[in-house]
Amino acid sequence: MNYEQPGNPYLNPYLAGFLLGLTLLASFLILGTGLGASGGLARLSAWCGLCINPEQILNSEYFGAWGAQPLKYYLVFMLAGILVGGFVSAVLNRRVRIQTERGASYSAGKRLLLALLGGIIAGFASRLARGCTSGMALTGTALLTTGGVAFLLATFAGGYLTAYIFRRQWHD
Amino acid sequence: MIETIYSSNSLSSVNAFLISLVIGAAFGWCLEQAGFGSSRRLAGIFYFRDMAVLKVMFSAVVTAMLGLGFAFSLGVIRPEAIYIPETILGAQILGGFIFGIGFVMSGWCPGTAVVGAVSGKFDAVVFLFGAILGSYAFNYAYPLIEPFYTWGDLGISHIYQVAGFEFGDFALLVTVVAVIAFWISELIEEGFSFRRIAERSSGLWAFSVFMLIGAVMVMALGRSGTTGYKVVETGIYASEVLSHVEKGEDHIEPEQVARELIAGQKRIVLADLRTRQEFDEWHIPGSVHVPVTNAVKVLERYRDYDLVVLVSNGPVHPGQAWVVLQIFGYKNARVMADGLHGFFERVLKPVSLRMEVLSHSQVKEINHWRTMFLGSGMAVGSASPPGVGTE
Repeated sequence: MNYEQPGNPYLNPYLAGFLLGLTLLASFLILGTGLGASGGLARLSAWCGLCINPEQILNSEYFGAWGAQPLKYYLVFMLAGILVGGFVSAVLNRRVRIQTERGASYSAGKRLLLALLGGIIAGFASRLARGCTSGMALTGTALLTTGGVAFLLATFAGGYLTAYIFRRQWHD
Repeated sequence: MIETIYSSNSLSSVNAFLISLVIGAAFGWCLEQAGFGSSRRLAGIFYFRDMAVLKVMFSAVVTAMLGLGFAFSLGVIRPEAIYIPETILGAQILGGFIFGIGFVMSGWCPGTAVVGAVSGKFDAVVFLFGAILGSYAFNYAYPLIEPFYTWGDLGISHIYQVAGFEFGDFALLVTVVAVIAFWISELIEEGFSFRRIAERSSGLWAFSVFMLIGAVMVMALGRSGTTGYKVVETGIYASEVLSHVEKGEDHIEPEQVARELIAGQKRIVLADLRTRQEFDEWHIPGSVHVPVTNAVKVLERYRDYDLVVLVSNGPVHPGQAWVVLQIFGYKNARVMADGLHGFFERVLKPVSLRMEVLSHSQVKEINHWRTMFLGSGMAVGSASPPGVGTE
């Protein structure tokens, strides 16, 4: 809790959570679906693939099902929204700072390598589980689906069991 | 009752894209406000340094869950108007576990990394690049890992049903667990010093009370049973319902029921409206017990089935329940003509006791029905049908 952070202090976590819950509720009542982030990223991935090797992607079983225009999907627009909303909030509260976030005694190169590997793992796993922290843990648990709750518990299990291995990147 | 973009089947419209953009912006704003543009803060939960992830996540879950509870029980929205993510239990436990490793390794998850990236975090940009690569790798690996992708497919599954609870009761339980978790988080952050907790003003007292009151109200509304089903403007005309009657679209013959059940092509549920005692004595294999007074509510979960067959001893109670179900838009409901009496007479009666002349194929079919519904195959409960019951 005692690390330095630029700009205004964060919002009270319970209030932030309450507002996030209202956002999720609005999504349920207006869109009829929950929130999602990894779906949009995967669509972006399919789109990149189409730029490089369209035939192979269109014939692949998983990305192929999304057709030739994978970006025409509501979750892609939601992802763009997260970007805009996050940026506006970060700018207004003077929290934008170019940096590689890590503990003072940890090298930036190693930190970025962990971020890359973690990203690959999280990207892959979110496809397997059909969602990430937003689409499965948050949305699924709010709807009390068995899979959502199971995903949430499994995520924490995986995180806590391996947290010790990655602790040094936060040592100051 | 409001319609959603999903229920009106227009998630690919420009309108839907704009709404998604706005909701996404609110989502991103909340994440940034919560401090989730920082990987150090996100990873904090795994080292018990900063419990913000748990506080924010559970506050959001409870808020949305209770909000939905109110919306459903006050009849604001039909449950089917919301897309429920399917449960593929094995894939989600395995995927969740692997995801957790990626989360703690990088300090990011997809949504928060987008917020981190626009806050200037280079590690978040690298994470997003990795996540795109990981999705790409998944596409390649898909033919190999398909068995895992479909491992433990339960379809739409709700944890409260699995645990044998009603929605409202379970929602209260989740709220209580969340409030306890909030206080434990505060204790962890303050090094288990109750004095410092007392000094800290996080508004948690007010929030706890507010959430618990909401949860008790949702439970009470759920228990009252009738609230969500006041007859309101449903857009269904009496003439429309009556024309179904005129055309005979209100019922289905017992033989047809038997054939559909055995064919197994359609999603069918037999709703047995008799008393629990009668149901326990004998019922057609595969039927569910539905108390008449709760029929509209209990059948909610079968709304998207191809066929809901209403069954009782005779056709009178099902016929009356059918009319009420029509008012609530159950276009898939049918009365089983002649009721269970008809089912015994026309489906289950042994060939030797039948007066009419039967062709060879009819004999074969009747014998098949008897094995399927009375034999060891599908039978549930007692193997012999009860005597003539009372309506």
